[in-house]
Formats: sequence, structure tokens, C-alpha cells
Amino acid sequence: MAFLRWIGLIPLVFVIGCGPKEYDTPLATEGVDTRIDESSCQTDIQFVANQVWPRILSQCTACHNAQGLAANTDYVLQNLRSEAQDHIDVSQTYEDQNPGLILNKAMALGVTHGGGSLITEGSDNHDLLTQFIDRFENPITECDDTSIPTSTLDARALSTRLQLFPPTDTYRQASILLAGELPSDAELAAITDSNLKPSIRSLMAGVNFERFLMEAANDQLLTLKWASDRTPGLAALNGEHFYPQISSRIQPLEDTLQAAIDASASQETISAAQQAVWNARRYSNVALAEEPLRLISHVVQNERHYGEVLTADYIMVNPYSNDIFAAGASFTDNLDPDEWKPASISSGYRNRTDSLPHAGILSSPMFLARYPSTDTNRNRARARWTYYFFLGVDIEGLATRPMNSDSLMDVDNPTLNNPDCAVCHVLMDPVAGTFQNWGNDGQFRDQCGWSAIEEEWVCDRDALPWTGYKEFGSPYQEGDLWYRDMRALGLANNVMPASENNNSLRWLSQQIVADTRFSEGTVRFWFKGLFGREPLPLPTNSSAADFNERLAAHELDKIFISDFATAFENGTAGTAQNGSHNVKDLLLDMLMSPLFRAQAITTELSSAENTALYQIGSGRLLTPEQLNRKLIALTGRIWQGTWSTEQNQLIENFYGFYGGIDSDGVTDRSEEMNALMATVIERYSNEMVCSIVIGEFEADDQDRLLFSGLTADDIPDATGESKIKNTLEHLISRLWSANDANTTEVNAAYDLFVALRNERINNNATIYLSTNADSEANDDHDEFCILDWETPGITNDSNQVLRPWMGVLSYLLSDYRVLYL
Amino acid sequence: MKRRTFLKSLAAAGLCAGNPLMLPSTQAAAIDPYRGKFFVTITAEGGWDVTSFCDPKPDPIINHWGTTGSVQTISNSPITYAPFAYNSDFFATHHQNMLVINGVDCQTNAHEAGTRHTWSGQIGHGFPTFSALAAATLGANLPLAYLSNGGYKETAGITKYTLMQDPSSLSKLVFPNRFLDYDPGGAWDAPKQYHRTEALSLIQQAKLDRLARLQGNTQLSPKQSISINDLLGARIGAEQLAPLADTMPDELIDNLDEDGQWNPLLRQAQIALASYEAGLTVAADLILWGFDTHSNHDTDQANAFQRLQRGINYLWEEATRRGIDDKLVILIGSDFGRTPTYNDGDGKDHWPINSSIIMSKGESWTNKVVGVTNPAHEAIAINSQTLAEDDNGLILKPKHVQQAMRQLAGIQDHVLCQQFNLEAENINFFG
Repeated sequence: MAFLRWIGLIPLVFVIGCGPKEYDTPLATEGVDTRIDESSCQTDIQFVANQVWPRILSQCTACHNAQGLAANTDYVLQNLRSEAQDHIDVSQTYEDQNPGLILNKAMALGVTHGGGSLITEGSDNHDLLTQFIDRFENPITECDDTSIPTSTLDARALSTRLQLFPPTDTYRQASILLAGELPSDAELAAITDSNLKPSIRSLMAGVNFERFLMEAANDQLLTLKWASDRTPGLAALNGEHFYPQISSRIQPLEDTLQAAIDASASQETISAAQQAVWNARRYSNVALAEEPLRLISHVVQNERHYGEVLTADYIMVNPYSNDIFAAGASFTDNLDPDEWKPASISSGYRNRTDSLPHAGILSSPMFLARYPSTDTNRNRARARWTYYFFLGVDIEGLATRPMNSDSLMDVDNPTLNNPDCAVCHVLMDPVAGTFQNWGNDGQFRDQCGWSAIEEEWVCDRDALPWTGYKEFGSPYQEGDLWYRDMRALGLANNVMPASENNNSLRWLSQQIVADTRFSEGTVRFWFKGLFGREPLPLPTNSSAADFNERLAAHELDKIFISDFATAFENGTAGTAQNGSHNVKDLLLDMLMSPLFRAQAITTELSSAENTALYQIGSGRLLTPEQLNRKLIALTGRIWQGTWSTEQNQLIENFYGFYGGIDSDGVTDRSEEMNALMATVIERYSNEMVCSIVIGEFEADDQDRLLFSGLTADDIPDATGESKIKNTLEHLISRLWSANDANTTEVNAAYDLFVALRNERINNNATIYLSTNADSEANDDHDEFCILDWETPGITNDSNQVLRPWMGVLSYLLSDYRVLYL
Repeated sequence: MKRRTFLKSLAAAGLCAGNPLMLPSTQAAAIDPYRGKFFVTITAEGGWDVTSFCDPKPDPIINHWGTTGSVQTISNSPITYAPFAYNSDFFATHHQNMLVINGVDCQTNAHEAGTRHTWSGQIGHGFPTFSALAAATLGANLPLAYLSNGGYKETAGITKYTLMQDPSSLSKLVFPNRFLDYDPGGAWDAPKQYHRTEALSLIQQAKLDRLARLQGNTQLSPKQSISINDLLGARIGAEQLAPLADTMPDELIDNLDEDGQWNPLLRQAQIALASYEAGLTVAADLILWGFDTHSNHDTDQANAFQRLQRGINYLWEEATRRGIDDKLVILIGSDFGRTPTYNDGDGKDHWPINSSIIMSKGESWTNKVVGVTNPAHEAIAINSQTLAEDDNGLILKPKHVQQAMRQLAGIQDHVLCQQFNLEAENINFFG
């Protein structure tokens, strides 16, 4: 986190600006610290807002809110500091009805509290909570001393302190992020406040949008782990026992290869056969790994109700996975890995005669394999992640408190019987049960066992292990699908009817989609993809120096998430014309918000406000995938290998260094630039420019992206200066932004161009564009470039302008505006 | 001054973190190479079974090896171990350099909470790892002060971590202006640079001037200001990577260990040591996966321990080869322990009682065991000074181990350690 590094940053001055209407709610202002002199008079409102809320009640609302784990209790709070009166009213009512219970619950003293013990007797927080309760009898509504303001790091007020990008800039940013494209000048000129939303919505199509969706989804689901050679998806399917056609494509290719080897065929033939095997394996693994991501993309791109990612009674296949699953789909090109269709698996799994009970992502073989189970875990990990991805509930977040050691060592079925354990397991275990039909590795009813009724060994009837469970005969009873010593299957207060046993995941998926938390879960799922970071967590260390600011930052995220979720659910999101649960509209709302568009301050910020707003708006580091697409959009080229035009160095060689993930051991992207990442930028900006400049100047003018209208004879003299500056204005506008193409920046780039040229002239540098000045190792005057010496092309530069242009382009391509969004 | 007021004053003074970076010249001043202790943490990811390692429990209900084997001892050492994996060779080789800490109560059975607790000393969010603290306090100006390989790496904003991946491409990053795609032993005397040195200098200065203009924009949002500051800091660091060229290995060690097992610790260790030797790194987190053995425990846990032990052996061997073994301080740990009984699938589930091992050469406090568990692998309270069992004593927790590392690094009184105060009782680990 970069949180603390902001403290003490440069002072900021007043500027005028305003946000869009929906974020322009005038609210309380000045921020104050919660750590005020405790002897001063505070009204109840001040006392709660300044001290009780940040230090105690904010922790309570982690569960005790309308969407939280304690939503069904009698103590449900609003989850914002600004609702101080409501906090008082709710707490007083609860205390009146249950005298002494607030304090006892907080200490877990003689009562069961799902959240465990949060304060200890004699602590500051204990004193604070006691004072809070005492005030119910002795309220303080006025103070003579008015010097203490009510705490004012009010989340909604904070968002108005930031100025948004204007529509054209927002559209450009959205286009780069969603479509990997740079809008034309004409497109930008047509963007207005009124057409911004539909214009951005129109960007949500095409291959790059699909890549955006899948990358964002994989950052959560991490199923691309199975695309790797080291952890191949094919191996995760556990072979022909389950998928009899798993080798239907690859085996014939391997036979062909072996036959070629046996026949001592030419090396060319053998190499071609070998390559065919490699390709088939690689495409097969990628197809398997991408399957749940393709389902998400399919639902979003076709503007289906987002719940279909869970309720889909189909699986997405391309020609490769279609063969593996024997799914029966037909394709235009049986070698095209980019053609995807919905299908279902029947005979392709254990030679079934009917379809597997698909339940969207939940029954995806790669999702289940990515979150495997064991005979003792009993699908609880799958339940944990299901809650996290689709309901926005972090069950492990409940475990951020020390557990009672006796409870942790309890062996009397503690998950069912021990209240300390139940706080998580009462949520987790019913959902875990709904995965009952899917085995530890993700195969459907993959277990066998002895049937006392049929007096034979039978398979394909359940996913319960024989060893250690069914073998004992009790509590297991023949025909069971789930453990009898666990909670009943269900979600929240809904118990799954026995009639749904064969389709339990489908039942779960329908329950999740109908759950009020599904919308907020969806917002949280896409949050990182849009904003490059996860929502800020509730700070828990109330004695931290910056706790107050962290709490405000957390609340600000929470407000936006709630707003997004409400609109997503009621169909008012985006252009409000496409019904509820439309992810394109949700993404549109998110892109229109200050979380994406904030770019400047509207008024001087206090140090606390600076810190509280440290994660809002523009300034997110592009991922390697996004930077790659942006480089293509800006220059028309990838950072190709020296000897291979198809090798993408950013994606293939420097992906990990630049913060990429492998979806296995490395699952978090770097959100901050570090020294090694900076060297990646240096390298691509040094390597790429020669071929770009040569290519541009060799191309016909109408085919140029960067140097239109310029020739190698345009030098910085009285005639050429304006022409060169016009080109620089175009370059800065294209590569950075139109706002940056001002006189200061154009002149700075021009000065660099001139300085680079003068240096060459003054030092009598070579006019050849690639040269080894002498035979010294690492000679200071060497200049490498791949040139076409055979066909007529540019190989030298008698005016000494092309090398300076390369230098200027290095400068421009490594700029902050290129690297961040 | 009250503690809270004290901390706030620190924050206001900018002492909790870096201030906006000043612009350097294009010829970045050479940094002083770091030559202090090199702190390496090794995560046995998933929850290791310390009852088959450094806190041996021979009850056959707890460990199958107990039916035929017994707790192993070492002459002139209080350290005992289980007859499991490569323990015999491992402890025989390293016991003189080990402080074994048993009976550490992680207070959770949840992976994320256990990992966070073990490596930050706090079960809740927000505290940095020891590695981050060491990097921030001892290597604030170093470009690679904190290396990570993908495990728990919370920095709490006090430093940055660097993920070391695909080291085969590293030379191109150490020298980003050099052309390196040719055979240096071949006939082609290739051009060696993309830009002339003089030109590069002009470009770099222009970049710095541009960042200065961006920084000077007083209307920037807080996030943009932070990001610009980040970029500048990274560029300054990038200028200082050249020493890596002298220490990076010509050939990377194989990813497969002597047993033919994929063992990521080997390359992680190799690169970390090279970076330390270059004077650029204070702390590195290494990680090995495969300890979450809910089924087939004995085989899979032994396999994981064998790879762990191969990795630690290599770390010491390579450090010795480089002549920096006297600088090495290693902390080995895991999310938590595993149940003192097998489940029905011959696996073991999560158990809060854990162990850690600190390794260093030539210290008076090694060849020692601190902390006690009973035969059922439950933590026993000890006296913080005598370290003997004491009903009125305390149960060791991860914060004590983290505090011990802070003491070893000599940073326990640093303002950042005060800011992230573990409030850990002083344990006489090193007496």
C-alpha cells in the first residue's frame, strides 16, 4: 500500500472544479482527528462520530449491517460514520431491550458472540463503550465549548473534493482500457457530456474488450493457472476414466509424430508433426483454462442477465475443448481456438446418456479444480470462494481475530457444535454441501463404494469417499449424497429441498442470483478490473496514526460500491435502458464515477483529506497486458523481439517483471512501479523506437500514425521549426493526451530534439542509423538498429534528424501518461 | 506525550514514510552498497507438520512414524527431530546454526489469517512483514531492498517489494540501453547500444525535467501525485542496478533438485543471494508450496519437507560459495501446524500450534530450543526470561518471533517499528 507515503506531500492550492450532479452532494466539511482531548465536552453526535464509531462501531458493522453476517440479529447498524444519530438510536433501543448485552457481547462475557471478544475490560475501548452506553441515560446535546467540530472526514463530502476528467478525456481513457484503441480526433470532437455514456458503451465490443473482461475475471478466478505447461488443464481432468475422449485430438497427432520418427521421415516432417502436437496441447490447455472466463465474456457481451454466469446450463467450448468434452458443437474452422460456442457435456463424461447438470462457473471443471477439496475440507474452500466472488462476502475476513485455543483444538465436530467455529461454518457449510455432486478434483460423482443392497461395487452415484466415510456405514446411509454430520444444504436461511439433490449447484446458483448480496458481489468482482485495485478493507487497528483517514477511504469505496450495486440491481445503471443486472451498464457507471475519472483537486486538501483520497481516480498503473494494447494503439506495433517479429517481449519475456501474474504462485499484480519495472520501460522505449521511426519515414504519408507530413529533410531551422513543432504537438496529443500538448511540453520536446541533433553534429556522429563505432566492448557511440540493407530503405540520415526523432520517441513512450491511466 | 499523539506527530513529520522524492541529476549518485545482515524468510506454504520436523511427537496417533521410530537427538544439542523426510541430514548439518522456536500459537486455523499472523505478527490486516520493515529501515534507498517471490508481502506502504521472475531476462534490464541479442563469442562485432551514451543522457534529463513539471502541478489528485512520485523513485532505483551484472550467475540453477523434484526455492535463493551480494537487497522472501496435506499426509508432507530441506541446503551452500554465509539470517515458518491426529483420508488438517526456526552462523544463541509443547502438541506457557515452563508465564505467539527478528536486525527501536508496535513481551531468545 502506498498509503503512508502520501503523508507530508507537497501543499496543494485551491482550484475551481465540480463533479457530475450525482456526486455533487454538499455535505459536512472539515476533517478532524478522532484523537481529541477526552476531557473536552462533546455532544453525543460528536462523541460517536469522533470516537465511538471509528474505534468500536465501525468494527461492529463488519457483520452488523443490513447485508452482513449479523443482518438477521436485532442489532443492525448503518455502515457510515455520518449516521451518528442512527448509531445512537439503534444502540439505545438494543440496550433498552437487552440491558448490558452490548458490553457483554463486545467482550464475549458470559454470552455467545459470533464475532468473539473484541474488547477487554479496562482497555480504552472498554471505557469508551461504557461511556457510550452511559450517555443513553445522560445525553449531551449541547456544549458550551464549540471548538470541537464533528469529525468530518465524511466519505461523500470527500468525493466532491476531486475534479473529474472532462468527457473527451474520459472517453479516451475508457477507450484505451476497454477497447485497447485510441480514439480518432473526429471521435473525440464528437464527445459531449450528453453522449458520453452511450459513446463509452459503444466501446464495449470486440476482441480487446473480450480480453479486458477475461483478464479482469481471471484476476479474481485465477483459472488461467491451467493454461500453463507446468500445471496443464488436461492433467487436471484426471484422464480418460472421466473424459473418455480427452485424447481424441492429441493422440492421433502423437501417433503421426511417432510414425514419422519410426519411418525416419525428414526432419522437416518430424518437426511439423511435433509442432502439431505441441500446438494441440497448448491450445487445449488454454481452452480449458479460459472456459469460465469465456462464459463470463459470453454473458456480458450478449448483455444477458449477469446471473447466467452461475445459472448457465451449458459450458463454453472451442474446437479443442469440444473434442476433449465430446460436446458435439460444430465449428467453421476446427483449428480456430477463438471460435467459442455454448454446449453441454453428456457422453463426453463417463459415457453418460444425459447432460451433466451444468451450473455456470460453479460447475466448471477448471473452477472446481482451481479450488479443490479434500475429504475433510468437504467443499468448504469452494463455499468460501463462492461467497467471495459472487456475494461479496469474505468469510476468511471473519477470522481476523484470535480464536479461543480450546475451540481451535476442539475435536467434537466443532464446525457444527462449537459457537466459535460456527460463526464461519454456519455460512460456509450449507453452501459447501451444495457442491455435493462434485468430487475433490472437480469430477461429477467420482466415487465408488459397496452397495449392500445390490451386493456389488458401484460407481458414479455420489462424490462421498469410501475410505474414511462410507466404509463405516454410519452415519452414512446408502443413497446419501452428503455428510450427515454436517449442516443441511442451503444458502442463508434457505434450506435446499431434497428434490434438488441431483441439481444442487443449479439450486445454489439460483439462490445466489436472487440474493440481495449478489449485486454488491458483482460490483466487487469487477472493481479491480476497472480501478486497478481491490476495495479498501475496513481498518482494524484503531490506534494507528492514520486510522481515521483509512476508515474514511474505506467508507468512500463502500458508498460507491453500494450505489453501483443498487443501480445494477434496479436497472438504472448506465444508460438505464437495458434492464437489471447488465454488466455493461454496471461498468459504465463505474467508469463515470470519480473512482475512474477524478484527476485533480477542487480545493486545497488537508493532510487528512489527502490521505483519505489517496486511492481515488486516475493514476493507476497499467497492467502489462493493458500496456501492450496501449503501445499497439499508440504506435501500431508490439515490442517485438529483435529476431522475431511475432515475439511479444512485454508479454513473453518481461511479463513477470512488469507485475504480471501466473495465476498460481503469483496472484496479485504489482500496483506500484518499482525499479525493475522501470527498467522494462527503459528497455522497450530504447528498443522499439528505431524500427518505429524507420518504418514511419519509409511509409507513405497516409499510412503513418506518428510522423505524417514530415520528411527526413525537415530540420529545425527557421522553415522547419513550426513543422517540427506541429509534429511534436501531434505526437504529444496522441501518445500522452490533448491536454498535455501545450506550449510548455511542445517546446520541451522540441528542445530535446534540437539538443539531440546538435550533439550529433557537434560530435561528428555517424549518419548511418546502425553502426558499431569501433571494436570496443560497449562503445559509447554504438547505435543498433535493424535495417533493410537489401531493398531500398532508409539506412542513413544525412540531415541528422532520424536518430533525434528516435530519442524524442523514447522520451515520449516512457512517460507517465503512457504508463498510467 | 500520549502514544497516539506521538504517532500522529511522526506522521505529520513525514517520518512514517518517504516524502516526495527530489529530482536527481541524470548521473544518479551511486548508492552505498548494503553490506549488513541479509534476512531471508522461507515460507512453507499451506501449514507444515512440525511434529514430524522440529517438535517431534512420537505418539503413533499423531505420527505413523511413531510406530517404528523414535524422537531423534543430536549429541551436545537440545534440538530433537522426527525420523522423517531428510531430517537426519538436515539437523545434523545445521543444528549448530539453528534456534528452534516451538509452541507458537497462531490462534487461527484459517490460511489467510495464519499466514498474515506468522509473517506480520498480527492476525489482523495492516502490519508489514519483517522483511518489509528491514528493507524500509536498513535499505530505504536501495532499488531492490525487498525481494518477494509471491508469498505474503504486505508492506503497509513503508517500502516496495520487487517480484523476481524469469531471471534469464534480467541482464537486459540491468542494462536497458544495451543490445544483447547476439552471441558475444561469435564473429559478429555487433553494435552494443540503442542510443549513444551522450544521447541517452539528454533523454534521461528530459524525462526528469518532465517529471518535475508534473510534480509541480499543484492541482493533481492525491493518487496522481503518488503515482508520479512512484515513477520517479523507480527511475532513480533503475539507475542503480548495474552492480547486479557482476553478481548474477552466468547460468541459472536447474528448477529440478537432486531428487528430480520441481523446487522453486533453488532459483529463488540463487537470485536473492546475487542481489544481496550486489549490495542492493536487505531482505528476501522465498516460498515453497505443497504443505497443505489434508490427505496422503505422510507421503506429501515428506516430499514437501525434502524439497524445503534441499532448498535450505542450497541456500547455505550458495551463500558459502559467494562468501556471504556469515551475513545470512534465515527465518523459516508456515501458516500454522497440522492436527496431532490423522483424518479419515490419512491426511492432517489445520492446527494452530506452530514452530519457527531462525538460522545464522557463529551466533551464541543458536543450537537452542525455545518454547514447549506437551505430548499432544498443545502449547505450554513459559517464563519469558528463564524460558522454563511456567503456569504464570506466557504462550509464544507469532509476534514474539517477529519481535525477535526485529531485535536481530537491530531495528526494534526504529520509528517504523514503533509505528507498527507488536506490543510483544520481551522473550529471552538470545540470552
